[in-house]
Amino acid sequence: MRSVKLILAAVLAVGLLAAGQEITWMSTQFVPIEEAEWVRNTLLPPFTQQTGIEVNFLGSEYAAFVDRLMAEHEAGQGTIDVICGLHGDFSSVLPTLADVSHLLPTIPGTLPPAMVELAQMGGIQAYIPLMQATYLMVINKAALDYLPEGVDIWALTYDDLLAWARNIYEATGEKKLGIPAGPGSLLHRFIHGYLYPSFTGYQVLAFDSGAAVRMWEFMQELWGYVNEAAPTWDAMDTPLLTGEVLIAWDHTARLKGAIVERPDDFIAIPSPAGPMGRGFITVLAGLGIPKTSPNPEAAAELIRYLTSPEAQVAILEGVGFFPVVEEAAGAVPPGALQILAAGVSAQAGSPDAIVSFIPGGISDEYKKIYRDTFTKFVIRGEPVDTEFLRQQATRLRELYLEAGAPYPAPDG
Amino acid sequence: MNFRVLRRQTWLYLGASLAAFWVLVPIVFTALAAFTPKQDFYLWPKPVVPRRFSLDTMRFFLNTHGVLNSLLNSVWVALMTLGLTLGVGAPAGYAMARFLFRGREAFRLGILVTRMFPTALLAIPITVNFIRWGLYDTLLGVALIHTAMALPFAVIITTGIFLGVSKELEEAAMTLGCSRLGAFARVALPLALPGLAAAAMFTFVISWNEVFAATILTVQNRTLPAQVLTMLRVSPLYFRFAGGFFMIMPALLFMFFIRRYLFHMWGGATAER
Repeated sequence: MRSVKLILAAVLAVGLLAAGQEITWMSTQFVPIEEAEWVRNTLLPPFTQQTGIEVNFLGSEYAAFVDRLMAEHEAGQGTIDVICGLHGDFSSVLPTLADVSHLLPTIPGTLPPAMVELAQMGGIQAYIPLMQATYLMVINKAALDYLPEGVDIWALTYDDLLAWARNIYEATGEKKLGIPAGPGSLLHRFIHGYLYPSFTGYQVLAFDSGAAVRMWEFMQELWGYVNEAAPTWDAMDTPLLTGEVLIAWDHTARLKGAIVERPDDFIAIPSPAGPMGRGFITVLAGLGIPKTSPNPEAAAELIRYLTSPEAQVAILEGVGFFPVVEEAAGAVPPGALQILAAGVSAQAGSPDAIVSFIPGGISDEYKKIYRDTFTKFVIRGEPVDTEFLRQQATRLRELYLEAGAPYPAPDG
Repeated sequence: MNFRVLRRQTWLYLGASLAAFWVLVPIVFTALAAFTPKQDFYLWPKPVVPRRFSLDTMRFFLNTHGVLNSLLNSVWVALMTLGLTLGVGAPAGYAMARFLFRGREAFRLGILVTRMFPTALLAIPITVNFIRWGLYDTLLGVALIHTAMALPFAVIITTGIFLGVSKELEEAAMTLGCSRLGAFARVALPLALPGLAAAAMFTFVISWNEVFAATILTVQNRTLPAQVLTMLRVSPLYFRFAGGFFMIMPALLFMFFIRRYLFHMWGGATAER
């Protein structure tokens, strides 16, 4: 046992001494051009200075990410040293991942145990939690003039939202509510992580319930006040900046651009609550090491660096992902990020919270099921058809059964 | 000039202008947007011609890690693809046009079969084999895949071209002392040049636009689309326009230079006859 430890220590030391080493970091996160440049020019240079390890950052789409890892695993020979992805990304590439549980004691900050546990899949520690994000609402302060009387923006309900958007429409003749419904948008997250839990209490189990029917009918009414260009929008920062919308829902990273550009004009507030509570998603991203990694020690070194409180705050400042390490959570810098952080913590701390997780381990078809239903009932405005809902619900449950995956929170 | 001819001419030019507009307007707007300062980009209502021009967005894009390098890679891959495709495709097309052999029709159809399988389906097996063969993350590897994609079109196009080159001319050359190969090189090939230019253009564009295989097969040595398309898709609009403009330009330049061969085929050649 002792000799094993000695060997481990020696391996680690060799890893540390190997100056001039280069590792490849593939990631489904930090993909947008400015984020990728920020990672290369701001986040990584201090690491290279400290350790002498050069990092080649490679942004990747989900499909390419999975294909590449699978191919390298199958060939038994890899080029990727360390990977970054969302919780769900890791469950798709589980067979290719090395157990990283031995790294846990060496992480320089305190990771919440619930998150560490979430990152255990298939009997191994599949990844080390890195950062978290969520989806919420950002409003232009100009919208406050039309806020219905007695409504608290920090405890908004879907009925309040409807009344608010209607007020704006009646006063200005314009539809100023924005929901991203473009082909590259995160609309499916809004449906399965926000609408469904808020109205029915579940993501999957009550897909075709009476509460779901009432929810779709509500959305048909609300859609009358959503800007007509919504089906072309992938992210809401641009429409907020152009003034096409005054109230918008989206991912923090896709809203951040607006607040950074004009911090005095916008406020971030929690997503609305429905009859069952305030449903919202917590997104967790992490770092893992493939079994075929050519330099696992250097990869581990990078993981330790990225989970340090300093790097965690830097990530928040750079790309708007919120820290997971407890020591970093208190150190949010002032300005645009504080505005965003205020909304995030108000949402996370709301008394009627229903936390949802993104489904993992099942085929992406689930997104299509939610989005198709939305397109049919809301965008096309067809009458809510319970038979269609039942078919979709059956297919959705089949996806979980086929993959043997558990239902995500709040269902499971 | 009588009225009827004038009217027909007017309609023709109107139609041609409309078609040109159809193609040019998006390119013009892309170019304008690429040089609009970031701050002016979100002006609402948006002026058609920006009030100011700036190189900032373009400069940021060009200085982005790996963009210039990947541009060079893309050019190399496209040229290699061009060489391989025409090197194999043109003789194949020539054979299809000149010789009758058993299974000629089946071969013609068989060529198209390679286009039946979606690249996404083949991605993992191809990558696994490329890793084993040492072609993974090399430009040659990407060029080989692009050649496989472009070859069917090249063979079909060149078959058509060589069918159009009269066999008698080659035979005449041979009676005057040319060998079979010499007749091909000195007579058939020059006559087929405009068509080959079209095939070359097509091949170049196929390689230039291909994203999926290039993304999967490369890690460090990426082509331009593999390097930038994934990130542009989720980047702010002004970067998308800068990237879009930058990616259109080389292809436009290539076509600009190869254009005269095409004119030769459609315009000049018929006039000479």
